[in-house]
Amino acid sequence: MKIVSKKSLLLLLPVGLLFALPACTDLEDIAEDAIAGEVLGNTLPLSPDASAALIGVYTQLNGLNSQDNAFALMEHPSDEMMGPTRGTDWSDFGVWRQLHGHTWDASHQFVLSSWNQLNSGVFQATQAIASAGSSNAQVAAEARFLRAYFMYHVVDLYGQVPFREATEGFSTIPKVFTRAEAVDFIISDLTAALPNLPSRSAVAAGTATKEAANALLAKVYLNRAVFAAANPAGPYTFASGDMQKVIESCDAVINSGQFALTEYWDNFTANNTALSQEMIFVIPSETGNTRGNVQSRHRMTTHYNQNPSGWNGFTTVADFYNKWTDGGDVRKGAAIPGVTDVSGLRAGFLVGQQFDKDGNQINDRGGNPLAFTVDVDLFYATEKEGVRVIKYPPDFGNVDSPGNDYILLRYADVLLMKAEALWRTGDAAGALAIINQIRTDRGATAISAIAANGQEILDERGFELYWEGWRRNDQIRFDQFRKAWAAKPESPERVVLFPIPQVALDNNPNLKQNSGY
Amino acid sequence: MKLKVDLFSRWLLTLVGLAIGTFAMAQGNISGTITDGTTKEPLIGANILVVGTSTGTVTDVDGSYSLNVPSGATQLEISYTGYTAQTIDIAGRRVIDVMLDAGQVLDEVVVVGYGSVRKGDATGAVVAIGEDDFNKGVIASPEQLLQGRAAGVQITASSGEPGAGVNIRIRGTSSVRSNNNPLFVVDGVPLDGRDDSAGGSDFGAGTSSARNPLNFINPDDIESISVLKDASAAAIYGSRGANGVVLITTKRGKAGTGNMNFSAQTSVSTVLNKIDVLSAGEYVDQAVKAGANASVVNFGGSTDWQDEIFRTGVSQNYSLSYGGGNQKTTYRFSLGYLDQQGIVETTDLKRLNARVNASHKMLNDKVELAVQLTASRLNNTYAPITNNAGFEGNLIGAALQANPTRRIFNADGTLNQANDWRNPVAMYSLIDDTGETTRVLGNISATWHITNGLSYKLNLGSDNASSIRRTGIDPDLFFNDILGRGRAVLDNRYLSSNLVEHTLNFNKQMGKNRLDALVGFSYQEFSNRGHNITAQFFVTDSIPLVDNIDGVNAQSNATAFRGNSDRSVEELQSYFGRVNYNIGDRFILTGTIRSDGSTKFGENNKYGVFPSVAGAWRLTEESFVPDAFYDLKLRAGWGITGNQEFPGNASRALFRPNNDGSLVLIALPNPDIQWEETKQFNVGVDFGFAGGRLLGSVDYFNKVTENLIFLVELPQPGPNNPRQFTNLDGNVLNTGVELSLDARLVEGKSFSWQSLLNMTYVKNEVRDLPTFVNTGAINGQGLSGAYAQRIASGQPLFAFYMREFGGFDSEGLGIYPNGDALAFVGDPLPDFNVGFTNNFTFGNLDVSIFLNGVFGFDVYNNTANAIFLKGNLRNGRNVSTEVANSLENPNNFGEASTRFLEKGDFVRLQNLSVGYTFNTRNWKGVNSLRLFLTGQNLLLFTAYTGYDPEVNTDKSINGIPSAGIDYTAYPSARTFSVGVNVGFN
Repeated sequence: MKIVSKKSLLLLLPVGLLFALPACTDLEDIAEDAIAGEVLGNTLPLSPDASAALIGVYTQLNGLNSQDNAFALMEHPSDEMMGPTRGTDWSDFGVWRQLHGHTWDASHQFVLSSWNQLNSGVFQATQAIASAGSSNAQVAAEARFLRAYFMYHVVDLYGQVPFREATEGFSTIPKVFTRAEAVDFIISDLTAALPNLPSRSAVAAGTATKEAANALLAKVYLNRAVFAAANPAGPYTFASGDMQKVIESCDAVINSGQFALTEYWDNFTANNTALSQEMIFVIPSETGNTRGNVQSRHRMTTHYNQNPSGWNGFTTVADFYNKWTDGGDVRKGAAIPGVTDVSGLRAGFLVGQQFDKDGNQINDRGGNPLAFTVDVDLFYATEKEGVRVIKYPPDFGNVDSPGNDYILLRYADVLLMKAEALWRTGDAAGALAIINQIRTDRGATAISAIAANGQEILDERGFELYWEGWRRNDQIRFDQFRKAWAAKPESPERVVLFPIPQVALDNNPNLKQNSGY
Repeated sequence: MKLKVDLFSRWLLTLVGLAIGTFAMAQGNISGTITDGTTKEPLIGANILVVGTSTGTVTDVDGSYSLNVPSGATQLEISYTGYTAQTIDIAGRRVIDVMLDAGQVLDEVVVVGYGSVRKGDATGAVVAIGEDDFNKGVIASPEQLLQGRAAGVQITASSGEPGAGVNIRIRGTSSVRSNNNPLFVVDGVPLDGRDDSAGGSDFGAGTSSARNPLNFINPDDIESISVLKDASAAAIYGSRGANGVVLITTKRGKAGTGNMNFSAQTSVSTVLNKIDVLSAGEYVDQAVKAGANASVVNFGGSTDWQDEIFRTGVSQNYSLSYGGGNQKTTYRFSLGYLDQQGIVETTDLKRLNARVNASHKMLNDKVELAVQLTASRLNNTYAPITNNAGFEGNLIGAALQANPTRRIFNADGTLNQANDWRNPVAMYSLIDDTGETTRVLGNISATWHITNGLSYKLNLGSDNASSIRRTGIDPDLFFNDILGRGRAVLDNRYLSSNLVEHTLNFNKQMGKNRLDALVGFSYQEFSNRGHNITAQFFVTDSIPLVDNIDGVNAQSNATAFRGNSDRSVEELQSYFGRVNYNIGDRFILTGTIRSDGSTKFGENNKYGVFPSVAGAWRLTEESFVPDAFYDLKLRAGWGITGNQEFPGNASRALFRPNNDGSLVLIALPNPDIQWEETKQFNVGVDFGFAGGRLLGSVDYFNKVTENLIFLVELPQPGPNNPRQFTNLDGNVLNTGVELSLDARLVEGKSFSWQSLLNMTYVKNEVRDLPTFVNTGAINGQGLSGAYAQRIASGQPLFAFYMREFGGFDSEGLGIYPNGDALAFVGDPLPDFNVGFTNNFTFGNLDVSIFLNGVFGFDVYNNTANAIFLKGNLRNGRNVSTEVANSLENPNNFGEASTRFLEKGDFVRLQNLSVGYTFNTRNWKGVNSLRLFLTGQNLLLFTAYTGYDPEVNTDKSINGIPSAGIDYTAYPSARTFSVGVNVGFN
């Protein structure tokens, strides 16, 4: 062997090392900027921190105060809200026209987004419940309440509820609860949660409480006739046992002594957290924080040239506005200190010429007087058409991140649910007493009778709870959802349920498309 | 690990054994001169190689050489670029003079993956473009050199912005959501395809895409670009080869006298087209007709807002290089400086770069070291031109819709601004948006010629980019959330990859047959980090906000600072091999295989295997082929390539903490996740007539891409925005035919004419997809939630899917015959591309004309959809003259529909270049001098009503890309350049 070959050996050594070293990689997929959960077989990992998981479930509620998605499904198909197309504005792929005109189909954007939004709330709650296990009973109870809350809306909007156990992996196709099964599931969740939930007086209104659980139980029992009906479009038979449960659940809230009717607009203004005694369950907003931002509630309706500048979108419908004949009713409209004197904007219904804070007439973008009309065309509205509705007045100190808490469950609703249950069990006098208690408080004249179809109860729910997300649910229960009103002809039976989104049908064969779609 | 060590030691032993046999030969000396057979001029830098060894040298300035040859040597091979190589028997001679004849095209060498191949021996579909055929003028990145020049390669800039991102589609579009761009390999180092700089953040005018990450390469440093189109050529790059591979080879020094080259070029650019909107004189009448009140919409001024944002861009480009060397060592240094001014105010791209390429032979020429190193610095200046602005518009949208009677400035000299419109001049003057990217790419290789025909090569590569984008928005800008607050965004990105590659090459002549074999191992690590911070509520604007990011009132504003960061590391480990077997120059067979393992792949699919086979039959070697054929070769190939461009961690379940304090599941694991897989079949024929004056090839390809990577909608209940990557059933089919012709029609001393034609027909179809997905977000007032495209079975990718528009009724309201029903109405993928080049020389004068045509595709004009509606006129905004004069009712709504879908077909006079080359033979010190004038994008013939149909605004939805949508994109420029190229020796 020659010397040269030793040289070449020396050369080979580092070369060989380079060859060998990198080949050591076993190509493990490492998460550098997230926590990787362990997966065994077809299982899902649970959050390592149940409390942190629970925060995520609460955060999931945030989507509900956007003007679109689930809120749009709950309101736009009803007779109290409409999103007219205004020339170049608000055509938006037809989503608003289709909702108000009851012409949606399984490809509607909000039908899918709401399905994902609400079912994901259910999923995250299920994970938090499992993550809490038995070691943290309150975390588990709060998560159960939240699961019931999300599932209630799935039951209400879609009629079928897919369900996945906490660690069931995604190669398992979720089972599907029928509407009646889902109602039982919700009731059992709420019942299980109740003992371990705090009382409202002990915590802020953004936390799940015994009273929130009872209020939601009342909702479930009140609507059980609809949810259990053989034909979702009715007829509905309200079982007296359910109505008794409604009354019991409402009484549990009423008798807790923690709530009272409050000056109406104090429920919605920027500091409603401090002023209102009606808040049962809310999405809390802190000034300067983006959580629970309610600014969409005024921007979605006010005109560009109003203050704060709006998006010139949604209006109420002539038929609904025309129900308001009682001039003393504070709920129809009011000047709000800190709002009307700052911008001219009033709370409640805005109709006719609009003015700024100094009483000067406001014009539209083309320079003509901005006077809102009662009649509005769903397809070809002008800028000025339609009565606007301010439910949550702007927080002028913090228009972009206002302090108004966003209400999910309110005391007046509990009172009205009890009234309805009383009426449905034959106690019209008891019902009238509650309704007139509210009417008197709101400055409206008392009513003396309730018609056989419960019209006065439905109307009162409209007067009290308009634009708070319940109108579709209420109209269906009173079988008035499919009737014709301005801009909407009578609808087919299918519309009482939204279709299951096409994507959901594609990936879960256990779901069947709702009848008529 | 154990396996690897075993493998290593076995290999080591083999290498050592082979080495020992090598050093036992005696030597003798041979010298001579190499000259041109026709002109008898000496050939400088011709290669002389002792056949069967790596021993060789190059000729000096006199064309002479001297070489020590081993005693057993029998033949010398003499070669010179552009000349036919000759093999000469030594037969005991000490002096060998050779005359070479100007060569034949088939002898040209084409760079392929991990090596090169004689063009005549290529079995795959490879197109190589050299410097002479590159596009000329202001060129920011390497792809632009190729645009329109190669069959089967479609290159579309996303806009006319300097250095804008570029989409390259080689033989169609095959992936739904993975990157469809090819793999770029620079001097053997595969690049990470990700952006190396941040896109623009949304401060009220939408987000924007990052500029092209390849801008760091100076096109002047590129010698040739090879495009590997079919699977047989690209399979050697395995899981990254499915979109084709682009191999960039940079210029090297040549042995011989040192040569300095200097080039300088100055260019002026102006906007190619303006859109015809109402002038101030026409505006008020038309607005009143549409229902506006004259006193409200007439501001008394007269401003052409397009003129205010467009400018004449003046660009400069300088390159200086010095190269040279001797038989042992060659080197080339270069410096480049480009300052490309955009045609929109403030936009600019500056690049300063340096490159060193050097090689050195040592240890008796047994070992060759080579280094290629480039460092570049890019300074970008951006205007607020974004992809998804709302109805108020980005800079372009604001300029198109601004009321022309508005004035730029108030009487007091301040910018005229209000809440109900955007002043384009305010937008570009109050937004300070710049970025800096530093990127260093280098590799060192050592090749050891172990023995006759066997060599080992180690290649170490490293690519590091770091960038920062600084965006400062003055608190005086009338944007929501900006006015009175200001905003500053600092956005860093770091991209890094390291490569270690070992290859063994073996070749052996066996009688009339020849074997070439390659085996190799490759390891590449990619890391990617980013962080950004956004600050608002600035206390003062007297310090540039980006330089004073802490100068905010964080005490009273919870959102004064927001930020995020991300990091990922991925590894790719590969084994590969290739065998070429040439049977008497008649049949050539190629087989390749690569096995790629990636951290990204799920544990059940860690390694993918990508094989290919190809064969060629050189019919000219057969007696039955008439002599009229200069070349006739049949090629066929089949292979599998992959696409692994999906995010890492797809195989893991991920929890991410959020700023609300929650820790929730955000991503679901898929242990089966794998690459997309493309099976491609290719047949082609190469032909030549008239002694090579007419050359051409025709290829047919059939590409089927399976295991499409999708972000699935999981069955609910699931996490919020459930994220799980999966490989779907179904496939994407691309079939097509490519033709290229090269005709040297006239060849004379005083006049010559060459025509080059390339044509591509591609058909694209999605098949058997179990689901569908919508993309192509449409933005603008009244267009929330609108989309224009759906990916579904039976349609081309990115098919347009929308309402059908039936004109206006008697009231000027839109008729939609099918109501809200959506239908497939067209597609954005061109069916047919053609590139046509004519080169003329008249003595020392040369002229090159290049036309590019693209046909059979639609463009969605989102600009018109958002802005050009009669109702906007009533609302005090401007519209196109066409819409102002139309029958549309101002109350009509402009739903996304076929009303705004237009034919995109165009023909463009892309490049016209005139040059004069001086005869410098008798000049002292100067060995070449050329003056040139180039025009780019001179004429555009199209029916499209927007700025330019060659556009691709990113309108992706949830990561599903879009194609062929134009939304207030940066318009294209017409550019004239004048320059000089001079060589010194």
